[in-house]
Amino acid sequence: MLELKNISALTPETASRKSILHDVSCRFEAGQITAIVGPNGAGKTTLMRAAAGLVPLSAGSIHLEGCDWKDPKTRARHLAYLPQFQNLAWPLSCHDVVALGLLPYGFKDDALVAASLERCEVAHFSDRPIDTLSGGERSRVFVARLLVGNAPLLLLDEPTQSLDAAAAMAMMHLLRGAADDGAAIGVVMHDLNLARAFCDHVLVLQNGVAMAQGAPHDVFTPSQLEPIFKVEFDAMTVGDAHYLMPRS
Amino acid sequence: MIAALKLNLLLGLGLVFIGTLSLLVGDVATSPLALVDWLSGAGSAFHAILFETIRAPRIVLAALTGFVLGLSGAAIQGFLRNPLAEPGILGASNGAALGAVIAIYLGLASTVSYIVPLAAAFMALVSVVVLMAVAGAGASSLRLILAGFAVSAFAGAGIALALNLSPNYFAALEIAFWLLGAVENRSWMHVFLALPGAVFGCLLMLSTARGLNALALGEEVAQTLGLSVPRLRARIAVGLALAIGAVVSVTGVIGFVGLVAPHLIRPYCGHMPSRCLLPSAFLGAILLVLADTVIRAIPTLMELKLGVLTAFLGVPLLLLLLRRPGALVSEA
Repeated sequence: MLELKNISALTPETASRKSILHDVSCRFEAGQITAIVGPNGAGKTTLMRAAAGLVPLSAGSIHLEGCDWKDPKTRARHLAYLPQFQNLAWPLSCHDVVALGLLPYGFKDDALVAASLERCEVAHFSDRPIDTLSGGERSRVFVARLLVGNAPLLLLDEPTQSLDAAAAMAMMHLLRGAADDGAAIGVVMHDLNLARAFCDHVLVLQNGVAMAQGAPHDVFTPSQLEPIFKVEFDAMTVGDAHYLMPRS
Repeated sequence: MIAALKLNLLLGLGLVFIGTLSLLVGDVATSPLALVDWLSGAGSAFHAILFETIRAPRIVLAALTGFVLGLSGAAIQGFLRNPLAEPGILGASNGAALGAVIAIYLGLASTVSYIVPLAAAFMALVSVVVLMAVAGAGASSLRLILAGFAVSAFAGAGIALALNLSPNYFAALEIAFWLLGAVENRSWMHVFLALPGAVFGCLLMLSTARGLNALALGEEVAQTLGLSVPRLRARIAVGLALAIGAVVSVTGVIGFVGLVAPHLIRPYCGHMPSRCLLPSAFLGAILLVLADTVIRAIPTLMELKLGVLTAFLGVPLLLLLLRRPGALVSEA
């Protein structure tokens, strides 16, 4: 679906530009959730922004299946992006926020907006100003904005941050549902266990370099993650579920 | 929230109604019957001069100026995602004022009647060219605001210098009065001088409606929605300079309407930037026509300046708005 080939990026507009991504390659496949994990400052957000066309590449290339990724208008119709901190300038209604997701397609469709709100279980907030909602409810409305245009590629930067356990689970179920419907999803995450439970593919970054990637059960091992996160992990199994617990 | 078409229709009709009633207000008492006669083409020559030559141009000019200020305020607030932005923020307003002041200072005002508006419009354009040159084509909004502030401050310094060096008391007074902003003694010529710049500038600003909506989600998300932010920025800056320069050139600097009108109308438009543009413009026009009508109705020895009254009315209005929770800033 989306292929990042040996991409590199530099810090913007500083006297001594430093590399923040170096020779990273990965693919976001249709029907799969790819988690981007790594310690703070690893380059996860930069990778996500680069994939969304927001960061100029110093090397490498990006290819989006079936379209010219370099054309902003075409790209807008193929990918939907949720930044790490989604702030709104005005207290728009939830319906209007979701309707903004249709801007690249040049049409209005209240039925599509209502369906997307319904899918994210926030239809009853349709007319409510978004600033009157809780953090978890707001996140679901923002995801409804991503889903409304049925874009084949969704990129989300830490959509579960500041959500409680139930809201984070609900968010991941929502994304799982979208992936099962055929979307390719890239998501930056800090919760390794949530990533392991819901994602099909994992990319681990450290200092802008891809240190490991593959299926979660192959990558999420204490021996692979300990040198990257600089913390010791205990691997636990409860029933069918596998967990990594940082040792205190 | 009121449906956009309904709201625009309501405000448009309100503007026509208030503008028509405003024709009756002034030093010379006139009856509604005389107005009806004039409107039907059967009025006396005296009323034709009173309505057509004296009152109608100032009402139309007040409406045009208010329309431009209201639209510019909504556009610049939407673009900067900041409810505190006002149309003069990019320096066109002070640039135009400097042009007019230079013309008055050089004594050109008495030579040709339209030299002041022309000088003001020219300087408004110069200010936007300087702004774009200083800020650069791909400048961020913050850089644009700071460059606008610099242009505005420089023009303000030029105005202060002209006052400082003014050859005599009367020249200084003429400059000071012009700066206060007014539509008195304006003719159709002033309306037609302002019209092209105002219309073209307004059309440019109206063409940014979809982009302003996308910007509600922030510049980065707007880009992922296919918006070219530099192109939108250029359209807003040029449109604003043209429209504001055009009206300031014939009326002087009139404050607060551009700041207050978008705030007053925003809750009725669901806060969506595109839906605020036209209603804010119509409301700006209504506010300025009302203010001009009040000026004509108040029996003062010397007619109050429009800019003075809008500031006096605007401040309490702004304070009232501040009392309404969530009216001025989003908590999203």
